[in-house]
Amino acid sequence: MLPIDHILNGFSVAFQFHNLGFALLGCVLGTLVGVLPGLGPAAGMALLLPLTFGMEPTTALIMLAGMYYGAMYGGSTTSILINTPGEASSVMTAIDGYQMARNGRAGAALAVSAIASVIAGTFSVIALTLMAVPLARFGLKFGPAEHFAILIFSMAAVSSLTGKSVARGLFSMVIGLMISTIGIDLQSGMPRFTGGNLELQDGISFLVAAVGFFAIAEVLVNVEEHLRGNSTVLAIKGRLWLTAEEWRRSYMPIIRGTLIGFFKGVIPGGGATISTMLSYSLERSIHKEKEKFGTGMIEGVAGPEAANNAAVGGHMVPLLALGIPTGTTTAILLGAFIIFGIQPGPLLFTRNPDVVWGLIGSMYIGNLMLFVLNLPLIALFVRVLHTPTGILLPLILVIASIGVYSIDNSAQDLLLTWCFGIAGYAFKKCDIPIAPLILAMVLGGKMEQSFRQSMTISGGDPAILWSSWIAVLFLALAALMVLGPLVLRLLRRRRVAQATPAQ
Amino acid sequence: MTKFTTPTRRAFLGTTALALAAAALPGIAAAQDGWKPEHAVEIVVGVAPGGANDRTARDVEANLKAIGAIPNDSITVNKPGGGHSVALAYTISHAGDAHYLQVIGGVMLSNNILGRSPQKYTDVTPIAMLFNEQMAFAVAKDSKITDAKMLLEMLAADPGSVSFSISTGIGTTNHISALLVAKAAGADVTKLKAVAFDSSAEGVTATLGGHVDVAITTPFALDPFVESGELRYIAVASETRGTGLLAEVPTWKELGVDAVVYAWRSVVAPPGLTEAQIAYWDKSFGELQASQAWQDMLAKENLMPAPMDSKTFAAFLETENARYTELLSNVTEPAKN
Repeated sequence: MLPIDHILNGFSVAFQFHNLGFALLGCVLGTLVGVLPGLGPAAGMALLLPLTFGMEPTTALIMLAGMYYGAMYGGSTTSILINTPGEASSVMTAIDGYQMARNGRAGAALAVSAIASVIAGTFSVIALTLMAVPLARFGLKFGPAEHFAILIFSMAAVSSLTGKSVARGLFSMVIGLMISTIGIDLQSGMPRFTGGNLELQDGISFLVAAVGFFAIAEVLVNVEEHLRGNSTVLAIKGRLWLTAEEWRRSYMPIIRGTLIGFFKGVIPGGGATISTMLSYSLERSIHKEKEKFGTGMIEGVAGPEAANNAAVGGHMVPLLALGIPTGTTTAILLGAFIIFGIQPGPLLFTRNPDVVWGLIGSMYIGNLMLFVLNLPLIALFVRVLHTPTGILLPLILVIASIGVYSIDNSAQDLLLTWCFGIAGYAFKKCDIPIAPLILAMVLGGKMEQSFRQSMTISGGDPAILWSSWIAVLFLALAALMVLGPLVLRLLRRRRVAQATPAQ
Repeated sequence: MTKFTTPTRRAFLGTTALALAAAALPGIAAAQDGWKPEHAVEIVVGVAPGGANDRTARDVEANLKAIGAIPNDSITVNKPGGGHSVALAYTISHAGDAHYLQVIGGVMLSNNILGRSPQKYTDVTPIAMLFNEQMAFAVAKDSKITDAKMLLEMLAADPGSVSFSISTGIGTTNHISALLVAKAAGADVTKLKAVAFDSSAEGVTATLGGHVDVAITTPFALDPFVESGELRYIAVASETRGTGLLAEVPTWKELGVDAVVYAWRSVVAPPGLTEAQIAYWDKSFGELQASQAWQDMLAKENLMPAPMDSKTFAAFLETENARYTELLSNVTEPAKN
């Protein structure tokens, strides 16, 4: 069969009435799971899995996959409206998305994230259709040393988010790195910095910190403003949809975010969160008005939202072509495949073409469904902002607390989140940026583990870190990212210095 | 989300439970005077989803449901980290609550023996032994290591010339089998390159990509890649040869290497359970292991059945703990690496 026959065959499976119905159900549930903070696609799929027993495998997988990418659509909603990331990969969206809402452009922020999602989702499925097998091979080139290089590069990208003061940014980042070392160390199996607390052996989930530092801290700031009597009611300015100007600013970030998300997704061992960070920092670094990021730039919403949706298609590549899960969510999906007696991997495409092409076909349809589904919801969701402060703030506290508790059903997480919230309030008062802390938490643990895995493999020889072109490439990019601005500044200064005596 | 699906879930599970209760009625009737789960049962497992232990936890959950031993709701909870000790701590923290069951293997013993975790096997209630899983050694298809003999020679010449991927940490069965082989080869085991990964999937991926030389894990994780020709089995640390793809693979024993290690999989519960609670799970796991569905699963996944009830399992833990203590003190220094 020609590839086109496979795709058409896939669509004929996906368009069967019950498959359409379950795709829709999966998408709706996914959106809900995405909207609720804490409860992410992994937990949602784990809950849904037992209900799929007895269903036809293709139908069940279509529904589960729908839930997965549906959650990526939903995750941005609470980030934008109440500064509470709905799930891990929408942390970046909160930074400028929430500020857009404060500027009265909540509708536009929600709209651009829906548009970015549908474009990125569709692109990544097309790329998955055409290039799954060769791309999956390429993904295998990434071992511990290459992962370390990518993480160094990501870290360098993050350092551009430090805000006005480098010292304050570094402070925030170092605190984040310190928090990321808490817990049992994988390479030695020994607990570190847990103070004998057993729950801390698990480490501190970065969502716990993110919800605290973003949502709770924001509530505290608002309470203060409310008490001082200078709180402003958020008004919706202009229309709910994007203005022509906003669209002009958004489409390039969407394209770039899509590419970053997809290709980062293909590499085993990386979550969608890192790709959203890379997208955000790219948009910021190439923008003429860098300093405006964090005040409600639509580019900072469009890019990351495209990246996290494209990552879903990217993650499907190693899952379907090699049987390798790239994260918790795809691991659950892999479990579902196996429960139905289907082994993803090199033989999947020849053994179960109906299942795999049906699933891929349904992803085209699901993305369109989600787009249509999400548009009317925007008008509904923005009404949240009309809620009076006295009701909205406690409501945010409740939603954030439930979300955090639902991650691990841990009361200690809840306490930690509130403590982080108070710390976040102090950070805001001292003008210390929060993003570097959160991002260092995401990157720090993985960076350390991949470094030590590399060192074990090489027997302590650091040369392994630049032993492949991929690693060299990312290390060079990282160096460029850190040194580039310094060199530019030096050159500019010299030019000014040369120009001055001539006068 | 939870709130949204609860009615459907409940309705669904209700009907299933009803239908199954009819089938399993004799079994449940006997335990009627004693204890039975009053609310949701949590199956705890100390790895991220996707690994072999995770599969067992989910199989246990599904099969307990199928025989009607979980009348209400159930969920598999992943608590990865520290070679299962995070999950173990979680289970132990629910003392006296028989709604928690944990799927765990020999790492429960080795963690304590190596002084990494204060939790001892005596801190939990042994419930049932399930099966033995084989420890297979595999290399990438184009690996410089052609067979098991060559691996032994390389280890003897320079233990640092080969790297092993071992999932979820030092002291696991995967690690112990590597140590035994290295020791038999006459290599300095403290120089062994054992790279810990979060899950067997990650370890296998690194081996597929040629970043690590030898993957030591279960046939379940390796079979698909051996079947597709991406990986090659070189040896297995079992008493006798396996079936299926493993039928062609020599055991270390055949090769004159005394390395027989199984990853056994068992179920433990929090401490302080009542007799009635233990009796309920004893009965349930007895039924589960006798069920056709369970045995089909074992056959399909190349697992060796090794059923034991709570008493036999408790005795086994004691002897196994003594064996591990000797093994680990012989092959490695405590708390090294």
